[in-house]
Amino acid sequence: MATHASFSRRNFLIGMAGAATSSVVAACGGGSSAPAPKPAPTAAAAAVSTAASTGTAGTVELAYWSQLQPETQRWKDNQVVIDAFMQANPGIKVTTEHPAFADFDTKLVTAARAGTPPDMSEVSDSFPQLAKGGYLAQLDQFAQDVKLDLKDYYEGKLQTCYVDGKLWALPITADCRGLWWNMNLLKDAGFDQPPTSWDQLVATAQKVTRGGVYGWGVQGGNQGFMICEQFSAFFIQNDGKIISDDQTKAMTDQPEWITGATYWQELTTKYKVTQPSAATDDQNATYALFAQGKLAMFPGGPWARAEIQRNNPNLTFGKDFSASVVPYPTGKHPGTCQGGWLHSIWTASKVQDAAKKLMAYYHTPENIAQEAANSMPTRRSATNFKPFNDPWYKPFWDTMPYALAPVPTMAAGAEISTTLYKLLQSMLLGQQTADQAGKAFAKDVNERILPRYVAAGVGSGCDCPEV
Amino acid sequence: MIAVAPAVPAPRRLTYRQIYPYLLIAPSLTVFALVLVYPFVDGVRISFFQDTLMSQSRPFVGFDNYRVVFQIPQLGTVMRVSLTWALGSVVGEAILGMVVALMLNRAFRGRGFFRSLLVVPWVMPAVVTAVIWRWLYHSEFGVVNQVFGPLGLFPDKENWLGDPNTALWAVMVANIWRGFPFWMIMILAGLQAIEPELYEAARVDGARAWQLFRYITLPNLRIVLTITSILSFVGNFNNFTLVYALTEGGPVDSTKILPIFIWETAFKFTRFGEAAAMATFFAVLMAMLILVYARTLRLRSREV
Repeated sequence: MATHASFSRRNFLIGMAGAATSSVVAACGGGSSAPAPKPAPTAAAAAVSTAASTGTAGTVELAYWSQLQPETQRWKDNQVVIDAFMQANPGIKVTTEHPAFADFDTKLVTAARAGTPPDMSEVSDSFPQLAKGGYLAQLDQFAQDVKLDLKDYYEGKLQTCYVDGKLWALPITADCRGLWWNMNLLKDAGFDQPPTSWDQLVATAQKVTRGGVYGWGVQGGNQGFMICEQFSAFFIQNDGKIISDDQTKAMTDQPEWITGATYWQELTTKYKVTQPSAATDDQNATYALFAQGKLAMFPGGPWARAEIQRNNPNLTFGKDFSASVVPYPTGKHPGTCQGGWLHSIWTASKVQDAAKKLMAYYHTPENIAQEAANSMPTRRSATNFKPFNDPWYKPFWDTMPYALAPVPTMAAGAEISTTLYKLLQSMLLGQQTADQAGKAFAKDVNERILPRYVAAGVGSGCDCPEV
Repeated sequence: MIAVAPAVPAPRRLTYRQIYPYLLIAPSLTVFALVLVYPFVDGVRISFFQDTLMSQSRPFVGFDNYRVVFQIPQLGTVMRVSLTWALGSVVGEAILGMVVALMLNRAFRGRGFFRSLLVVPWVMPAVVTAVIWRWLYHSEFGVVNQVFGPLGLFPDKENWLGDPNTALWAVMVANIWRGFPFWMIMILAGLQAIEPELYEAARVDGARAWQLFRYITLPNLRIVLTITSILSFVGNFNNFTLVYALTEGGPVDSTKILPIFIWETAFKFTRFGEAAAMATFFAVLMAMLILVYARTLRLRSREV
């Protein structure tokens, strides 16, 4: 009896172990039984389909996914556009979903593999893979059909929508970063104006850092924010690059990158003007610290204004805090990361005509201006609308011509960004110098990461055409 | 001569009474097959294909994914962190669970209330636990620094989750806090099955508290401790949510445990085949380890 009992228990335990681990396995793939997305329709078919959708009777439901959370002002700005669209198109009902920002990309990938993606969504890190895999609809013909003026879009942002020379997305926001500074803290330290150069930034931050107040805020707890908000400005201003323009090699072993990275690192390791929680703080923690008067300066997008005031409603823009251009090296130019989100239509969608209608509606200059009201628009003509013609946007417009995506649109982009994030963390913690880190990273990318993508037959880059 | 046909036994008909137990477990088995067996088998299948998000064609590659996985330089560090994490969590949870169970096994006023209260960390969603501990550990606002800072035991404004030297231990403490009630419940159930006469007889013979624990409590809890430690190890080794929500595996991979590494391979780099190969290999490895562990303990218990 005892033997029998222990045999059963053993089997049970093995079963439990296998079952528990299998949950991880299961999460790794969609499986063959999941319906595979249909191949992207040809341009001609899309044109016919779009034309045919005009005048279709009956209500169709269109699923739209956004990384913006419903309670944020940025989503409320979007909801205005969607409500107006539904009013103008009573036959189309748009239902929205808002996966958590941190998990948005994972949710898209999972839905793609499971064959249950939305009809239209914002897309981000996995965009090149989704486009290459045939999950997203080509939009070249659509752009022609609706006479979309692609030249009105900012070139840098529009180019991120091309993979293998074809258009798979349209940019909905194109943002850069500014310097948010606490006017009261700087005034107390003897500064009436924000710093404009690297030297001034160090001097100002050093003088402000005292008694639990820190001069420079770092958002090191989130990969996207660490790379984009925080780090990129310093090598972009110095004409450095992470990846070469032809996307065949890493450039972090070049002096332009190393100089910028060294400056960024030394704000923490040498000058010690960053908050102790820098390595783990996300953007919300930074807003909170700034709003509580514990941080004097940090780099952030235009949306930071609303977030700061949400954290401390007593603060007044222009009186207590303000925005300016992120300081840059003397004799060089401004520059920060260029971020923003893209819109795509999914090939698995059964209501692509409705999705194309929504896409066309979203991308008029007026609606781009409306939905990007707390960010920055992607079309030049949208800048004529409020709030982008407001003077407080000036530092952002001054920076925009120099803003660049830190890692270009490429199949290896996600892996390169993840490796870079780890590298930046180690620099922030003083484990290695920027010089050592940059050279090690270049070696890793050139010898391990990029060759794997080339060997897998997906190339390394996006082959973006001149727009 | 009359040929006599050999007697063919009539087919035995199953009675309702015989079928009934299987009908009762059929729904559970169906769910088990759908939710656990199918994904596991499909995961094993995926591990033999070059399966990425970037292509609709998924060619069969045999054991190539397994070969590639073992060439990843990071894997050694990930395994070291994973084992430290799982074993450390099991030991911490076991000790805390045992102490609290022994306390709750005594009769005192409000015992029922405390038994319920102490289960709260276990039933709390892991993400909520992570949010609580993120703020407890925060270098500026966190209670941990406010309590321990004045004692001078740690550096001022220590960033517990941001320092590679402390991050894994900090996450482990949060995990032990969350996981000890499971041990507490299991041990408490085991304690209540021990005959009180054994303690009484030992006390008459002059045994002290430690001797009672060593020679009566522990041997009688052997089976409970074996099963609980296996379940706890498996649960901790496969834990994803708490570590991901607290550190995302950072800083600098100091808390990157295997499930996070597999998730990263699958969903960030979209290399599903390689991720499935890793998951399959370690599922088999873990099953074998547990088998050896269970057998060893069974032999020991026979010797006792």
